[in-house]
Amino acid sequence: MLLNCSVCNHPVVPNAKFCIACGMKLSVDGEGYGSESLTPPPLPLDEQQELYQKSSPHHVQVPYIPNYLIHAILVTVFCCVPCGIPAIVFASQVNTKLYSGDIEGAIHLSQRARKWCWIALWVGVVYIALMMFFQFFTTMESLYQSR
Amino acid sequence: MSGYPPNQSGYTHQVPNVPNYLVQSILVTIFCCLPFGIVAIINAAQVNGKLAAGDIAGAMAASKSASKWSWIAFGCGVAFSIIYFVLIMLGAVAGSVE
Repeated sequence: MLLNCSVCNHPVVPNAKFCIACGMKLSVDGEGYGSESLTPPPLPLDEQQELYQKSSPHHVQVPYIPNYLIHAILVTVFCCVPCGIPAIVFASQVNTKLYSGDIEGAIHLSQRARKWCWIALWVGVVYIALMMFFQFFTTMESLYQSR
Repeated sequence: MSGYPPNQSGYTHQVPNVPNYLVQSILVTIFCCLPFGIVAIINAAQVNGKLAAGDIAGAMAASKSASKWSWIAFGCGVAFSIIYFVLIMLGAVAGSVE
């Protein structure tokens, strides 16, 4: 069974790893017995860009989008837990979206996180103000009755 | 075009199922332990985004971390309620002895 190198067409022995005439590396898997160049073929351009974007996200020009994560955690702890939780959920997705290239999605999440931070802050402020008001009222009433 | 996210380029159909534990994280934050629950929520909220961006290893790491912190928060909540219950019972027993 005689085979030929697919580059220079020189006859080569079966299971040879290289062509003795041109030195091309030969693939040993079955029917093709064609040549396989030592360097892989270049990727298509869009795949190259995608690979570059995934391997080095900090070198790609990424706009600054605030994620409001610290604000969200603070309003969750100090103001209102139920309203702070959506703020944390949205805020912690901003950076992931940004580095996956979805800049519009990141801006959208950032705005939602900001909105929920304000809601939680105002709910907490109103709650604390009401508590202070009622405390003041009951204290005054007890003072008046004890006189 | 570099502006498109990689999940629009055609390999969303072979994304593995990675649980994000978001519901568990929110529940333990409300009912068990706030500080550890917040850590769990932050990790849980990143799982789906990383998965959609093709970062499967990162998604699995975030999922594991969310699960770990959910259990820690749950354990803290259970321990706190047991201690609270024991102290209440001790107070009741002491009150009835007097």
